[in-house]
Amino acid sequence: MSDDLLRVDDLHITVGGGPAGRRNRQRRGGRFRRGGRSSATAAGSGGLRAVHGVSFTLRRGEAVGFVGESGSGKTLTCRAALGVLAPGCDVSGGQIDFDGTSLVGLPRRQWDGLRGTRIGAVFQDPGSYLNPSHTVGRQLAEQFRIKVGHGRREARAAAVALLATLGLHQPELVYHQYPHELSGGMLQRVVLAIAVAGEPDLLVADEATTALDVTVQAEVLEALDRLRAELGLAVLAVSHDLAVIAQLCDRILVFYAGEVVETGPTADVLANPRHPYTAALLRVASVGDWRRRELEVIDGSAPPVGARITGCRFADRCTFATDACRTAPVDLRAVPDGGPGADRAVRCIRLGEIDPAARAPERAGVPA
Amino acid sequence: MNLADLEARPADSAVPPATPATGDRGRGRGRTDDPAVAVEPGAARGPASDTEPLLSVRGLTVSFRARSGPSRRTTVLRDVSLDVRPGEIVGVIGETGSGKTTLARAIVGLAPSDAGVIDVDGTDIRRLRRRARRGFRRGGAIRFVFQDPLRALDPDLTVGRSVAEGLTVAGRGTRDEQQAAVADALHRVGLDPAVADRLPGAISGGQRQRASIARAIVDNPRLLICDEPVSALDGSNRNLILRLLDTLRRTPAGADSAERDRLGMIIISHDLSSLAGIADRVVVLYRGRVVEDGPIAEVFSRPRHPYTALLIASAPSIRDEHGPSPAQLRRPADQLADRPGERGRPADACVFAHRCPFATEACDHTPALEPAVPGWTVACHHEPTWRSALSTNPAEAAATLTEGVNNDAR
Ligand SMILES: Nc1ncnc2c1ncn2[C@@H]1O[C@H](COP(=O)(O)OP(=O)(O)OP(=O)(O)O)[C@@H](O)[C@H]1O
Ligand SMILES: Nc1ncnc2c1ncn2[C@@H]1O[C@H](COP(=O)(O)OP(=O)(O)OP(=O)(O)O)[C@@H](O)[C@H]1O
Ligand code: SF4
Ligand code: SF4
Ligand SMILES: [Mg+2]
Ligand SMILES: [Mg+2]
Repeated sequence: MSDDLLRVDDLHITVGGGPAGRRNRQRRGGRFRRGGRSSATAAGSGGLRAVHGVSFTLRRGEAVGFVGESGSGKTLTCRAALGVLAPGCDVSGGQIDFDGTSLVGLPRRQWDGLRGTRIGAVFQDPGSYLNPSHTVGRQLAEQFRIKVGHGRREARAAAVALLATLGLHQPELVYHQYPHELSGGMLQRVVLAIAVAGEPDLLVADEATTALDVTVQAEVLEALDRLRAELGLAVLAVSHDLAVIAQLCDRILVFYAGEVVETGPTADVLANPRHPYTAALLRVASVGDWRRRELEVIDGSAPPVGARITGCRFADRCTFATDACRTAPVDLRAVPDGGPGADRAVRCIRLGEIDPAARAPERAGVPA
Repeated sequence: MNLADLEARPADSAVPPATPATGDRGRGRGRTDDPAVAVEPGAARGPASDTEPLLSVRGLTVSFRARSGPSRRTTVLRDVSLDVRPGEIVGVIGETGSGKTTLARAIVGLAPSDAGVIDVDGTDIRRLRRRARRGFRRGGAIRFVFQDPLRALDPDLTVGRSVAEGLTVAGRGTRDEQQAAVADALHRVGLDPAVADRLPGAISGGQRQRASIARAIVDNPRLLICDEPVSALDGSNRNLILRLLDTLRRTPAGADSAERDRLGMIIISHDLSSLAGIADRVVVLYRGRVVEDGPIAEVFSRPRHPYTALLIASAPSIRDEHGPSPAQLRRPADQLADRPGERGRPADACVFAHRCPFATEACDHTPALEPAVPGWTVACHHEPTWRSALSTNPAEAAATLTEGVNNDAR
């Protein structure tokens, strides 16, 4: 048995293709939006390319984090790995292996089996994945009954205990409430509980702690750490909160406009970003001294999905861009001086030439 | 202004001037060249404190039917009061489940309230009859950005139609004007106007969040309530939105409109440092009660309520290195009486008493929310003396205070 749990290789995703592209109705209330075909269609049925060649490996018990610009393909990548792409979105190239099984083109029935027992997921907007007409306790206990095989009472006790573990103060009360009766942060923890109840091998957590205050967030991260230690749970986490990623994840992938622009051990990348986008993101993300209101932004905007760009996709916003950056596709290259066993890679032709963390003088300073 | 005025707002003042959203997108979006976003550090940003409030909430109480437990109703907000003046941003903070969303929903009439006054521009909207209330809502004076954007955006309506809804319902402007206003709103929140043709399920989470902000600002509301408006955004887009909100409340709605017409705002957020970047005042909720309300920079630098102090000490991004540590503000675990019925205090006790290291017998009665200094109210029996007990072992902090009180009495 290999140590690799999830291997994604050169993944391409297209969106907005096929008849379902624009106005298909989406189900609300179901846990997953089904119907996403995962078969590799060569032409992507006329859709626009939203994810371009993403590769990464997640080992058992490891935690990998996705960060990057809003709309850069983080959620699409997670959904593809779970076989739950929305209608109109397709895997148009590449490979996804889960524990030795190829997931691309997997029949739906086998998907359902995998998702049910071995992979748990929390998506953005958690409220929409719960059934509004059942109490949250019933929905959580059901997981324990189906997946762990608990009896009714056992399942109930396990559900209440798990809610308490995730820092809900009155778990018995919450058990009896309906989704609309819970606050944003309570809901988020209920959905997380449902995802981990079946003791999966892999947890995909897309913005799973955004609605929590710092104290509760710390409790939830601790609970996840325990699950990783006790069950060997692997985590794929997406978050804009770099502190959360720093605490939870061993490795990080930085997304920009559908590509991974930088990857490596989390602490290394955050301390010493080598791609200009990563450096810019880190700079604007920290508020710095809150008494001085430096609300900096990265000038310009990312190219829209489907834009045909020959060279570096960040070039229009990059302070280090040269003509050479725009002439040919830029590959993700290993960082030669990344340190011992650092396993870092960056998609920038000027790697080694520039120090992206140093500010380019012409754009420095608070915008006036 | 009365309700008739609100409903009969002329169409031309309601539709913002359409700025071309095509071409030049790159530079425009960053808006670094827009003088309106220049932010002077430390400058007084809010309105003078003598301006009449735009929104005045007094004694608001909200309860829901309890599903289990001894009492028949659970009270989620108790006796909550707050003011928002034109041009002012009021931040609302508090732990998860403290009642922040419920407060926002009650103000816009989406949650039923048991008692209190919600005064918007001189009208108590709680007392409006149904039709008048609906008219008021359609008038678009108050807009609400939901915490969960999927709830705000109809899954079957394109983003463009959802954003336009405020304008179409009120029949403001021609179709072309409406479309231009929608494109402008999308542009201002940093979205490619092409997303207007897509359904909410076919855009990313952060794009949905920005679309629901665009929907709320498209028809120039008087009061904007944003529930976690930047929680799904990367740092750059977060700052873009914060700057947009800051610009909106500085700029009066029309060229000839007065100070009085500036947008007032409530922003609910767990991201304290972002909030500190744009809010003027902060209201701290704990278990449905306001425990502190004051100027944000001062409150964050030197909180006057023990709960606020704990919250701020737990937030690395704003914590003052010379301020107390979380451990100094927490009661040792063995002294926690968090569960009801366990060595309980009376129902009437201070809401924070079960966790407060400074609690004494006096705290068995709810402290009133009273001004500590003008414009800064606090609900704590031991304000300001609790700080003097800080340096001691938290297990003995309350004892120090009790002695202090006894000594004072002698
Ligand atoms: N069903 C869809 N149809 C068309 N376009 C889509 C669809 N789903 C996503 N997209 C587009 O693909 C791009 C990537 O979306 P994705 O949801 O992966 O972004 P993300 O990185 O998760 O962003 P965020 O941080 O805002 O959640 C976005 O520009 C989005 O608008
Ligand atoms: N319709 C309802 N019925 C019963 N209880 C409710 C209802 N709505 C809210 N509550 C309860 O009120 C409390 C406050 O909820 P609210 O959503 O206002 O919290 P919040 O401060 O917004 O929290 P968060 O930061 O997690 O979003 C919670 O305990 C919640 O369970
Ligand atoms: S390749 Fe050129 S444009 Fe792209 S990030 Fe590197 S320096 Fe900037
Ligand atoms: S009133 Fe008493 S219990 Fe409440 S915060 Fe003040 S010291 Fe603590
Ligand atoms: Mg996403
Ligand atoms: Mg809330």
